[in-house]
Amino acid sequence: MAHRTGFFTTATLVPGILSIMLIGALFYWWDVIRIYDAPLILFLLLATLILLGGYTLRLHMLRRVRTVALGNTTIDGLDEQLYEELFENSPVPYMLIDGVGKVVMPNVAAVRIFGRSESELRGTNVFSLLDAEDETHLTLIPEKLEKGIYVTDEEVEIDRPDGTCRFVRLSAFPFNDTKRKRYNLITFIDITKQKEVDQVKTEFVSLASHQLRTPISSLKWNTELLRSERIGTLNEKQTKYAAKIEQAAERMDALVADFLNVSKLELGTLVPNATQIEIDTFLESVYEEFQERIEKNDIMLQKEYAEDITTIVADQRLLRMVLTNLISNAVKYTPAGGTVTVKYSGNDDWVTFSIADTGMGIPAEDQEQLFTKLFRAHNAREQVPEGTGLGLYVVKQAVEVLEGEISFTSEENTGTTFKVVLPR
Amino acid sequence: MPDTHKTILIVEDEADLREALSDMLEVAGFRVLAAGDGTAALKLAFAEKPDLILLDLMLPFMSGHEVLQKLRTDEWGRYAKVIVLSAVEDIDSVSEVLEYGAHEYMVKTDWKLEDIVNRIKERLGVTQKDED
Repeated sequence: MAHRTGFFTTATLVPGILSIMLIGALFYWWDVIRIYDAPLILFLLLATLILLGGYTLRLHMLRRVRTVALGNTTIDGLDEQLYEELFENSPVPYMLIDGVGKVVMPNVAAVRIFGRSESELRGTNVFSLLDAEDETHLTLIPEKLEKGIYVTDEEVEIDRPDGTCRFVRLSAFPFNDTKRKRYNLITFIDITKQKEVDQVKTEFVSLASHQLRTPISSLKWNTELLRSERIGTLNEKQTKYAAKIEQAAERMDALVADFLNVSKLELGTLVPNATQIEIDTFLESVYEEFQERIEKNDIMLQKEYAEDITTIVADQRLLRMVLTNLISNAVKYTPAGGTVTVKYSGNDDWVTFSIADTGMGIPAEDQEQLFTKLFRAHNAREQVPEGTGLGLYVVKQAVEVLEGEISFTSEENTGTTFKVVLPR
Repeated sequence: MPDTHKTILIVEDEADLREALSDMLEVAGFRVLAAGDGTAALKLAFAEKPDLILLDLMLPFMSGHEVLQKLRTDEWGRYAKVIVLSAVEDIDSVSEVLEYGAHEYMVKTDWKLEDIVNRIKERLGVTQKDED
């Protein structure tokens, strides 16, 4: 193949240069040089040479592509046949549509995924066969294509005549033919299976959450009734046992909440839904959960908020997971009479939350593993036995989904400060 | 036993929880009606027109969302007081039921019975004085 390309180059270049030289010599012979400027003729000659060279190089490159594709053989016209075969028999559904969305040519896989015959598809507007969770998404695609903008990985649904639907990722590439008429090549990647698995995962978490929490509620409420003076009085020992049941139910509740958060984060079923949040109000609702403990342990809650920043755009559930766990830890590991300080500050792009306590601190040798799942620092394990080792793992995962960063400084028996930086 | 002269409809499919709520509310002086599924709840609500409905979301036959939606199309039901008491805190559920005009969304495990009773009293404007 290489010698053929060399031959081709030589066969184009040599006669080209020779004929130009001949024309030049003739011009000189006919005294044309006296009428026209000599530099002009030289320039024309040079330009012709460059053009010829470029053309030869292009031919050479095209030949090379064919060489790679075909190995050691050349079969004339295989380029076209190869593309045709690729289009027609690719397992990926392909469609050629015109500028307004009418199907010009679907491949076999496209016919299959749409559940309609080729003749039914031809001439039909492809967008009339599609659906999307967000309707505006669907109208945006033809608008983009009209402007010649590529569309990639748009999630849409194909409505099939048998009433079923297929979830696909649509990509489309606009181009013009030689008569400048607009066409688009559309591909559909089937993600129905993936969607079904996601649905099952979400349902599992929701069901597990419901099924696990219902008996916990029953435990808590019935123990409360047992202890209620309005219903009758328990003796001292009975009261003690009832309190133990209540504590165990609380612990179980926290464990289930942590477990469900881990499942949601690890299964990836938690799709962030960013909304604008008033930081002040949001923090108050978080403190509410720990009010009882704060009061009981006589903990001073100090708030140092920036005045120029009041809102953040983030997913509420994730932000709650982060702040609730950090504040819960600060309150839990701070001895009676201690202080928990919650600060936030930032600029147009970031908000930095800082949660500092005057608690037991994290021993230096345990700091590296702090965000590991199920890990608990040894002093925490000894002094506060209830705890799952999931809290900080959840925090770290949630901060990652929020595209933020978390860090901490800590000294044993002095306190710990966690810092979370989140995009605004 | 104090009497508030108010009727509460408890919609809860778990018998244990239904009984606990019912006992606590009766002790607090309320007249209590109870339903274990969505269809029965709606029927009872239209027949008895309770002062407040304590509504669970995951229910057999008809979900709590649907009960609330159907309630809001009725002339009386449109203004009926509803507190949603669910086992799960799911942002979509919360925003959906608040959109249909539920007055409050409470997660069961987060609240003591006493707190729930206090919330109901607040919502109905029942004060300690009325009870005595």
